[in-house]
This record gives sequence, structure tokens and C-alpha cells, in this order.
Amino acid sequence: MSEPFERLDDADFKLELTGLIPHLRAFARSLCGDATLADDLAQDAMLKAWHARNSFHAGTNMKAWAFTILRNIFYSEKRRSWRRTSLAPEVAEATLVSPANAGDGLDLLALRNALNRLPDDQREALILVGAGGLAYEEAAEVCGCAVGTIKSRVSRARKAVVELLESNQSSFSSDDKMRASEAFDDLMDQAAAISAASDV
Amino acid sequence: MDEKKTGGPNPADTERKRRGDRLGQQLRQLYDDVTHESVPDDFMRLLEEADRKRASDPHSKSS
Repeated sequence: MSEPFERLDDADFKLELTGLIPHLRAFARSLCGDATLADDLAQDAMLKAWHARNSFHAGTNMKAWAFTILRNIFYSEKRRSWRRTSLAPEVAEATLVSPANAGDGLDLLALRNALNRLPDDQREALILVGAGGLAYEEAAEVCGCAVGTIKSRVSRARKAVVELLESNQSSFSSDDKMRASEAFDDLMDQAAAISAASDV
Repeated sequence: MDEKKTGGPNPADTERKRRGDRLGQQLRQLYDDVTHESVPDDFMRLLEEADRKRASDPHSKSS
């Protein structure tokens, strides 16, 4: 039995869906990695959402609703086309690093590489909550799981990403001040150890 | 040697928080880099097409 619910008229629906296209593209990109495949996925999701408009409840979060559609398409067809595993590091670099933000680009590249190494469920939870601005409850709806599950995925994902970034620090970081002082401490420790050893 | 911690924030915690904040900011940047791109024309073309089809389809009831 379903309660009657309020619908948006087509014009309003279309307006709101149009406003969500950038988010569909961003979420798709985070799932696929590849920008072209991601746009195919986002277009599919947009059209599916349009055709399903009569099942959308006015006043609820259309972003979460449309993300659910997009995610379902991705997982039902991921074996076919928009698999992220084809994403080579050089591709990530090419899409991310522009001259305008080359310094940032390196950090973001490192982050993207770290995200790529997360399990799918952790990556999407972190993206939805940490970047897409969904509440835990909404992210749980999108992923079809309990709120507690989303929370623990997000926290595990954060931890894993921080660890991955740290293990890559020497090659990727552009955060010179911090590195320099750490490197200095390291040197001092080594120096102390050496002098202690030679004293014996 | 006295290993006891005195008051004040633990530098390791401060550093962890700093990294966490930075991670959040970078995650949003990664996402917003895409949302700030201009949307390829295909999207609106497809949506307009679907909308026109509905308008010209006598079987479909709008709202």
C-alpha cells in the first residue's frame, strides 16, 4: 500500500533535475574514474530520472533520489562498460593537473590515487558524505544500507586514505613546511642515534 | 628523563586534525572541479528531446 504523495509538475521537475546535472556528473566521475564514461553514465541516469519523475515525491531530496538511480545503473552494468579499473595513473594526471593549479594538482592526484585503492563501498560513502554534501541518512538511502554502516564506511575510508597519503608523502606532497620540519627531526634523531652508538 | 605530558594539545592530535580538515577540503575540491565544469550540450539536448517526446505523446499524462 502506498500513501498518496505530492508530485512536482513536469516543468518544476525538469528545472530541478537540470540543476542536478553537475552533481550527477561529479558523482559519476567518482564512480567511473573516466570522464567520458562518467558522462555517459550521468546522461543515462538523468534520462532514467526524467522517465521516473512520477515516482519522485515533491519536497524530498532529489539529489539523493537521482544518485540512487545513477548508482543502480553503475552497479547493474559495471561489468560492461564504465569500469574504473581501466583508470591508469597517467590518465588521472592528465585530467587533474592543469597549469593553473599544478601544486594543488599533485595533492589531488595523490588523493585520487588513494581513493582508487579503496573498496567501492568505502569510496562511494566517503564521496557522498565528504564531497557530495549528503547527510548520513541520505547516503544510506542511496547505498541501500543502514546509517550505521555508512558511518563506519566513511570513517574507515578516511583512515585508509590518510594512511595511503602518508605512505606516499615523500613522492607526492607539496606541503613543504611540514615535510621540512619532519625531515629535520628525522635527521636529528639519526644524528643522535649515530653519536650515541659511537659513544659506546 | 621526565616523559610526563603537560597540558595543551597533543601535537600528534593537532596534526591528525589538520590532515583530516585538509582531506575534507580536498575531497570537496575534487568533486567541485567537476561540478564547476560547464555541462556538455548533450545533456540539455537529451533532456529537451525526452520532454518534447512526452509533450507529443497522447498516451502520456503529465502531472
